[in-house]
Amino acid sequence: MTPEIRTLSVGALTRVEGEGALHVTLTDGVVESVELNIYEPPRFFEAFLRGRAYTEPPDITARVCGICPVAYQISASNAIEDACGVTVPPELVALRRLL
Amino acid sequence: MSVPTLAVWKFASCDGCQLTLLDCEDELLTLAGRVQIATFLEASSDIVGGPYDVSLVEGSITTPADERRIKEIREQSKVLVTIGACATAGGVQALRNFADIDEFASVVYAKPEYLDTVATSTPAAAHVKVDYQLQGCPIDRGQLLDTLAALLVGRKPRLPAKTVCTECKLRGVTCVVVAEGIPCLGPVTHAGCGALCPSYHRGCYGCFGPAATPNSAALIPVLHRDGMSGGDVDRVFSTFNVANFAAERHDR
Repeated sequence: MTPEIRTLSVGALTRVEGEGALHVTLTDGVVESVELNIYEPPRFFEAFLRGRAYTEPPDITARVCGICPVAYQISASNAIEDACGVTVPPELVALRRLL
Repeated sequence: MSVPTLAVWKFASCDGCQLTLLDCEDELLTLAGRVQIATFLEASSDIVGGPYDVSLVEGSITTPADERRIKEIREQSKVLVTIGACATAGGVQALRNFADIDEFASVVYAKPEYLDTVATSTPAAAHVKVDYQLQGCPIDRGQLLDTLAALLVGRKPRLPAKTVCTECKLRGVTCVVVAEGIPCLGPVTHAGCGALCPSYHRGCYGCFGPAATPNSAALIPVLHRDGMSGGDVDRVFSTFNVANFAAERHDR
């Protein structure tokens, strides 16, 4: 019997830290291959953040993603505080959770 | 008269500017009734082919494929409007223009050979004719709506070439430089945000890019006076509009 080969192709996936495409091949209902192609071009945030002042990463990393900027602002703040050994007051932690 | 078509395109960017269109919650239904949103991947996977009456272009040009795609979009569009710092100035990713792209790629990616990118991040206007541009990182919702409304009725969009300082004064915000000694790029930054940061006691950090004739040579001594080092000044001009500010720095 000839195996049944199906391919699923999604040309444009949004909200995958940019845009990308997904191609899945199935043979007799079993996944044979999955190809994820993030064609969003690189922007090199990790490279150009080097040498910046400690105050800058929340503003700069917010521009990684316009859908979820707050996640980057808070991660950047947490990372800098962690590196500097700073503990923020509980009110501020609560405010960030609210954001 | 047929309904005008609107297309929204993305290049190297964060999606924030095109999502400003979806953020127009009170006006979105009215707008959708006046235009046919033909292509807008962040909103719908339905794609209607060109030509288009108006194209909004977000993002900068950073790959050989995108250099070709922006030309195709131009050919398909009666009016092309670039939106945001990436599309109008190359964006924060234009910091690569002042660095070694191979070094950048090697520190970020385990296998840089998979990348397909060019050494520079350039605005759409470096490749095709642009009819109007909305500056800002991100753009201002009011400016976007005014531009679309203007194009619908056939008038020129109101995109005043003022500075953030002018907007601050119009709004009645107390000057953060004069009253609080906070370093502020308001005198050299293009208007459009409505003086958002100064209204929250924060100095402007230039996300709308340089105004038409920015006098940065006069501003920089004031930034130093208010506590910024030479490095701080270089860095504050080297963010989302780095390429455009670099072209306008006449103090060096």
